[in-house]
Amino acid sequence: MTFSMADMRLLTPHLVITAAALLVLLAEAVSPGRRKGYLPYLGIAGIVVAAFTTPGLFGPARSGFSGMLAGDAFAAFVYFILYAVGALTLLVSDAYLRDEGRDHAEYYALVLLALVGMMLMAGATHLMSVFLALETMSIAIYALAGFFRDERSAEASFKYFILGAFSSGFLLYGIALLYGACGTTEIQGILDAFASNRALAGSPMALAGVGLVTVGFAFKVAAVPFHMWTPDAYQGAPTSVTAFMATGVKAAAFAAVLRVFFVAFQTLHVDWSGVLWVLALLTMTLGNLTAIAQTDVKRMLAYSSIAHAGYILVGVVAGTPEAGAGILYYLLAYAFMNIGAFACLIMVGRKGHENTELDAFAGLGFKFPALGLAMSLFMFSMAGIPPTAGFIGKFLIFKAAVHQGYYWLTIFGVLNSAASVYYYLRVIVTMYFKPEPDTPVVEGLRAGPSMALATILAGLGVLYFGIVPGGLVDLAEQALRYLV
Amino acid sequence: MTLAIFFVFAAFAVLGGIGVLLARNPIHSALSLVGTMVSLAGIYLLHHAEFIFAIQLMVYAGAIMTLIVFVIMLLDVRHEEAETERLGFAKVFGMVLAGLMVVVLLVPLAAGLTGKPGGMTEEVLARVGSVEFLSEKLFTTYLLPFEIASVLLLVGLVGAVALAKKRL
Amino acid sequence: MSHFPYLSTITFLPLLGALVLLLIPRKSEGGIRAWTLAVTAITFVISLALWVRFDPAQGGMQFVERKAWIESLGISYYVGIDGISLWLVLLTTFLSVICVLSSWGITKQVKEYMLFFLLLETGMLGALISLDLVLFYIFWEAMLIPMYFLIGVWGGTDRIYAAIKFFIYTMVGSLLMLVAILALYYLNIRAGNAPTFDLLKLYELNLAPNVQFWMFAAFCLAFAIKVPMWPLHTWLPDAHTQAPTAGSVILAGVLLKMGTYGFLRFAMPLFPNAVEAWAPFMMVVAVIGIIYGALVAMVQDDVKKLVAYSSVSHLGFVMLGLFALNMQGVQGGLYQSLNHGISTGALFLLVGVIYERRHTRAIADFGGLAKAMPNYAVVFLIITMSSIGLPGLNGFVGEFLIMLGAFLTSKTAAVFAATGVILAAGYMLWMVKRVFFGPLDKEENQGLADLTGLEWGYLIPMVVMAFWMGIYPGTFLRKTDATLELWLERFEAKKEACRSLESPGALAWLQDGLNLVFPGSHAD
Repeated sequence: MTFSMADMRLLTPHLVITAAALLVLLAEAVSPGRRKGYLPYLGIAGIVVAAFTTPGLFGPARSGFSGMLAGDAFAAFVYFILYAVGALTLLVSDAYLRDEGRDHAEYYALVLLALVGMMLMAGATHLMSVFLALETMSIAIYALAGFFRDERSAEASFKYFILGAFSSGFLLYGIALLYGACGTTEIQGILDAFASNRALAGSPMALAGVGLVTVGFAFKVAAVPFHMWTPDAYQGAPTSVTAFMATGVKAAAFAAVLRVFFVAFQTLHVDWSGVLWVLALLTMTLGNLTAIAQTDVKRMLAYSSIAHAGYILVGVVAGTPEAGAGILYYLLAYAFMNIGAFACLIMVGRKGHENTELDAFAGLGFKFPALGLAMSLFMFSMAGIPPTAGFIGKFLIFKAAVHQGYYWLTIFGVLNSAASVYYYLRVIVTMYFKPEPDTPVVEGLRAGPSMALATILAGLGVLYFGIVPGGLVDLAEQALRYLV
Repeated sequence: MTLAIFFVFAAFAVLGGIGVLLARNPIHSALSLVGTMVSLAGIYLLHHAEFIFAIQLMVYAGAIMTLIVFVIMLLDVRHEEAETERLGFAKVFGMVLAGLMVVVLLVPLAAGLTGKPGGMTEEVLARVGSVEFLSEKLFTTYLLPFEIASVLLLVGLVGAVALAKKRL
Repeated sequence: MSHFPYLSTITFLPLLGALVLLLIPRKSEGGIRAWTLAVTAITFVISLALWVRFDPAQGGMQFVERKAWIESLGISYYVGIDGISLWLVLLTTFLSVICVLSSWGITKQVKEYMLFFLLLETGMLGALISLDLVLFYIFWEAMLIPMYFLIGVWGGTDRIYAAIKFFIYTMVGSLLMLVAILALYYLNIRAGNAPTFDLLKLYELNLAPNVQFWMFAAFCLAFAIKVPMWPLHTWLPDAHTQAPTAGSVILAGVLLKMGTYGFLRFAMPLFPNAVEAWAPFMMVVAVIGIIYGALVAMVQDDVKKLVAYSSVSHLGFVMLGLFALNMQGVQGGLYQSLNHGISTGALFLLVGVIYERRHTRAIADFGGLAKAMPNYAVVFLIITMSSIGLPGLNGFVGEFLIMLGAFLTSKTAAVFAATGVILAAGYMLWMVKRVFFGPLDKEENQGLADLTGLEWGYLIPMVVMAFWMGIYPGTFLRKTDATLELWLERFEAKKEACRSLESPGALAWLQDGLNLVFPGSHAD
């Protein structure tokens, strides 16, 4: 029952990134003077090294640490989504933090440590590890959300913290009940317990456990009606952190959801799919309807992230490997388009002024053609219009839902998608169709080489995975084959 | 007998929790929390988890609470007047939700289901001892969660510095 | 069969041109215009090769290219044309050249304008040649983006409203179609076939009539919005009046044809029994569209809006022809689609000419223009005649075939539709009278210059086409004969094959609908 080098092999990427975080902290301490512009790149270097040491991309399922951590293709796929999220976030943060005078090593270290938490969530095969990983990620994010230490940032951090703690309570109690019912908190063990004992599926303790775990995750992915924290937290947090929260947390949480619901609760699909059906519908619809009413782009993107969680939930409802592959694809696509969009938001701001009101965008499309092009691309992708990655993501998820016969949910999904077009297009309308006001709000862009690079990478990702999705779809399907 | 003691401790734990919320003086809040922690420690003892009991007393009721009380005193928090009581929609809604929560929590009990026993039975504990059993589990099977917890602490530390340090 | 990839070439040449355009400096507007014109002209010339090399005796797909794209899902880059799409492709490349010429006067953001225009051409051609449902859907949607910008940036005063309305209307319809496409994909797999979005393979899938009913409804909604059929037409007048001239021409000439093309290529051959069930309803709606469009056109005081509503009426004819479900009707519908592209396109060009001079389109602002601009008046009159279907011009042939077809299927519908023809003559000629004849009493109109060389340049080809298609339709119809015969044959055969499949009782569709909500319990 001890661990071996094989176990360590599975943990290598996590260790590398943790080491990078520590290195970043130390490097600042020993840096002469105030020269610390290299810190984010140190972090990115760590992520790149981690990417090269990631095990099990193509191999069969392996698990280590007495069944605590998986080294399967599924985990590897999510790791790579998270690497992209982490690296892009660091790139986007660099110039932003310097401009706001908050470029401290703690920020970069927290991003890296949150990344470790996210990766462990995706790789964990034991509810105990899932929970601890989730806490690691969440606490880092609470601190990041409050990193600007102004009133709005503090409010964001506090709201997120209170509701996050609340959701952790739900999750933990759910796990405890599941342990009571199944005698184990290992994901495979729970599956075996439910599969071997049909009566267990009807036991109130098990069902209450499943329900509470569902609620706990619903908080984390911001599903309606557990989404109340999202708009304020997203709007108040530093924009780069918002991007990180919306993409990284979502990817990690959905990865854990996939493992828990598709593996542990596989035999209970009939029971939870109905509940999630309603959640998915509510999440899509409310997210979109409230997003339409927003006049602030950052807040609009916050509500839209709720709507996107709804689309992904449609995939969870379908509950097949095909749907899981679609979800993975969607998460990657969402990472690119969302971080890209938030990068554009950062660029229009200046120190102390975010300029995220819709009116600030008037006329920017022609004034800054590159920004206009990038923002339009990200908006079209979020609206799910081909040839972008956002379209392929929606296509795959709806395809899986139709396959399982969820026609109505799919129809509601596409109608929601059509409604969302309205508010995504409104950004483009303002950028291109409205003249710039006489006293321009945005005089220059906060764009350094790193910001430009991040935006270009995100844009290329959105286009590339929108036009030649084949290879990635195959990889995602492979990932799910080893999961289920 | 054991059950009766359990309920006494449980009641004190709940009362302590309510006290934390309702007390107007922060010091009273902190002391109520101590009450909760101690009651929980008692429940651990009832379950033959002597080691956890000791840790709970020393770390939570002792160290952490002392720290909290220190902080409160250093910050010199005045008696805060409770806000004017209004029974707004939010409160009613909150109460309804809380009620639902209680129902959910009671469901497993009401069904009269007893859970499956885990590995830490009385016999095992008597044989190997609480500390040995725990440490063995912690450093073999649960090594990874244990290590994750260390990263978690690091994150907490860095986060606290990031949020609270004056000149950063 | 390996041959030069004509279809890919013409489709992606404008895209390539657009990319090169990005490198041309914003300042050299002349260079940008010339480059765009060159790209569209070369595309048109290459597309002429399709006409020359198209084998009229063959009813199937020609110039086929196929390449796996997302193999695991059975999505491939699969393109080809038959007699139905051949002329629409040529119409698109032809009108694109004309439109670039007519946009010579654009001075606002020329680079972006031409960029979006070239992207639009790629989107339109791609949609017309796709034989894979996903590929088609992608082009179909992607086409919206440049059109949206063309209306939104270069349009009239209410352009934002018009652009968003256009986009959302089309999105709703096409997303529901996407659901139906996915359902079709799985029904095909369930029937034991390999997963594929290949249209020709899906043609062979026989579905029970009640399933077809729902699938057709979804496809029909998407295409009917695009056509547009009454009562889904309300986006059209807004889009048309707000769009810049070239935008209107492309909208009328090609984008609306996407709707009728969609019916011919997808909705009808895939679901023949549903077509049979829906046909009476569709014919009624088509006839209402004809008469409604004509009546509303009659009371317009804005020339462009009048032309826009006449489009609603004309496309009602097209739909009537298609749902007559016989050779004459379908061929007439197809032919009328082309005619409408030429004559309504030309009308929009002509409205653009006068708008550039006077910056108004109100009929009341004109009068007696024939004296000031005699050449313009002549061209306008010829195109008007073509639009109302005077024998010898293109409109006549199409309308005649449609009436013939409709008469065979439903005499009542034909009679009502015929009143549309009379009304069309009424509103068009009345408008011409008010604009061109009578006293030249408005001062602003007296000094108006007649057609310039450039305007002649893009109007003459349109007039020539109007005459050619009216006097010798054989050139065009001959190439469609084999295809349409095969189309009808396949339609009837599939209809018979599907009829025998289980067809539950009258209210079964309702139950189906309810069962779809929570399928978990009885999913296979």
